[in-house]
Amino acid sequence: MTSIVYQQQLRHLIRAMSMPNREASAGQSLASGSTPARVKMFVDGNLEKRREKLETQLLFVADAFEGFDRFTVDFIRAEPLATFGSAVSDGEAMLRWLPTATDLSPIQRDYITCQRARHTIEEIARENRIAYVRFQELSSIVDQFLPQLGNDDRLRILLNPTRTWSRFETSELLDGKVPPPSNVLFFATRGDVATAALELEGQALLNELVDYQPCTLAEWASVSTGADRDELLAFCRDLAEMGLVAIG
Amino acid sequence: MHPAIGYAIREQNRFVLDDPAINAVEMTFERADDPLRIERYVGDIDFDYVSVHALKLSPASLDCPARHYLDALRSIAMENGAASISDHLGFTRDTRDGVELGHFAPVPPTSEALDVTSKNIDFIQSELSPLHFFIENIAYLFRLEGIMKEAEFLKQLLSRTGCGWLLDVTNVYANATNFDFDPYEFIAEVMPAAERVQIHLAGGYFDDEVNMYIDSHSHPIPDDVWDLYRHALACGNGKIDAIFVERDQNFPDEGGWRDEIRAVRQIAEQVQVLSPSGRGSE
Repeated sequence: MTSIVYQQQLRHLIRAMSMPNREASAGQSLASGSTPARVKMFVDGNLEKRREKLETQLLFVADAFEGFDRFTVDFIRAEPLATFGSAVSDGEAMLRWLPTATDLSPIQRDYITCQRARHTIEEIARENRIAYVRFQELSSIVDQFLPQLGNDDRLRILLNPTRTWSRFETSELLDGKVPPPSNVLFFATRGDVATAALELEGQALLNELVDYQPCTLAEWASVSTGADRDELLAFCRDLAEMGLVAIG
Repeated sequence: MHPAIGYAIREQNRFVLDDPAINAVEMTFERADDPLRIERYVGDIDFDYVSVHALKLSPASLDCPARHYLDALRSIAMENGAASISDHLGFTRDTRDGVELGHFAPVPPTSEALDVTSKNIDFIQSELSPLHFFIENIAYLFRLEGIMKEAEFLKQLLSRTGCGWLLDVTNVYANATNFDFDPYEFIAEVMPAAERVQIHLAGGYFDDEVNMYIDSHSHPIPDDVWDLYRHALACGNGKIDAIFVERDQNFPDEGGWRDEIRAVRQIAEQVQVLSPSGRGSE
C-alpha cells in the first residue's frame, strides 16, 4: 500500500504543476532555496513544449483555420495532458475537443476527419505491426508478380490490412474524380498515409475483396457480381499501383 | 574492453554514425515510435551497443507504468537489437490514468518516495528482463523537501533495486552549479552503489536572466563537463557499459559532430576505462 503521505504529496504537486498559475501552491513542498518562481519556469516550459508538439502534430489541420494557435492555447488551458495510459495522442484529443470549442465549417470538418483518419491508420499499424510490415514488404515487390497475375492461378491477391474508411463532406480535399459527399479510403503505403476516392462500382469491388481475400484472380472472378475476370485484373493493377493490394 | 561510445540518434547526426569512433547509439523511444516506419530505427549499421531511452516510465509515480508502454518499449528494443532501456528518476504524472506533466519533476527525497520508486523500478526490471534498465539523474529547476540529499536517495535506490545508473554528467554539473554542491563528491559518493553505468554528456548554457545553468543540449560540451567526465570515468572504471552524447538544437557541422565524439573516445581511452566483460568494444 503506497504511503498516504506520498499519495497526497504527489497529487498535490501534480495539481500545482499541470496547469498555469497554480505554482504558488507547490510552495509548501519546496526545499530551502527553491521558489515558486522556479516551479513556474518548469510549468511554463512544459506548456510551451506541449504547444509546440501540438502545432507540429496538427500542422495540416491548422491550414483550415484562421489563427489556429489560439485554439491550441485554449485547449491546453482546458484539458490537462493525458497520460500514456490513455493511448490517445494529444493531437487526437485536441481534434475531439475542437467541435466542442467552436462551430466548424464543412471544410474544417473535412480537415479534421482527414487528420483523425491518419491517426486511425497509425493505430492500426501499431496494433498489427507484423501484418503491416509484411504487407509493405510484399507491396514493394508487387511489380514482379503483377504481369503474371492474369496467367498464374497460384498467385493470391492480398488487401492492405492497414486501412480505414472515412467520409468527406466537401470537395476541398478530393481530386475532383468523385463528387462529395464521398467515402474515402485511407491506407498506409510506403511509410505514409494515402487516400483513394473510389466510385461506387470500385467501392463495391473493394468490399468483395474484403470478403474473399486472400484469393486468386480466378477465385474472385468466380464469385464477383460486379466485374468479369479482365475487369478485375485491371482493377487489381490499379489497386497495386496505389499500394492497396499486394500479390503473394 | 572499453565502453561503447556514440550519439543519441537525431536525424541531424545520422550521417556521421559511420564514424570509426562510434560503436553505440541511443534511441529515444518517442522518436523511434513511428508506427508507419518499416525499417529499423537504428538503420543498417550494426552497432556493438544500442540503448532505448524512454521518457514516460515515471518511476516515482504512485503506480507502475502501463503494461502497453512497457510492451512497446520492449518491441522497439528487440527490433533494434538494444541491450538496455533507460528512463529518468522523477515523476511526470501521479497515476497511470491521471494527469501528465510532460516533463520530469524531481522526486521528493523521502523514504516514502524511495519505497515507491524502488517498487516501480523492481516492476520495470522484471517486465523488461533480460534487457538491462538504467535510471538517469535529472537536471531540475527546483528541489522538493525531504530527509536526505539526492546522492543518498540515488545510492539507496541503486542498492535496493540493482538497476544501472545512467550518469548524466551534465545534469550533475547543472545541479551542482545551480544548487551549490560539489559535483565530484556527488559522483564519487553514488558510483559505488551502481552495478553498471551508462554516461550522458551534453552542452548547455548559463542563463543570466534566471541565474541558472540550463541543460539545453544546445552547445558543445563545456570544459567543466569534460573534466567531470574524466572524473566519472575514473570512478566508474570497469562498470561503464556505454557513453552517449546528446544534442537537440543548434547542431554542429560534420566536423563538429565527428570531433566531439572522437574526443569522447580519446578521453575514455586515456583514462583506460574498461567496461564489464562482454559489453562495449575493444
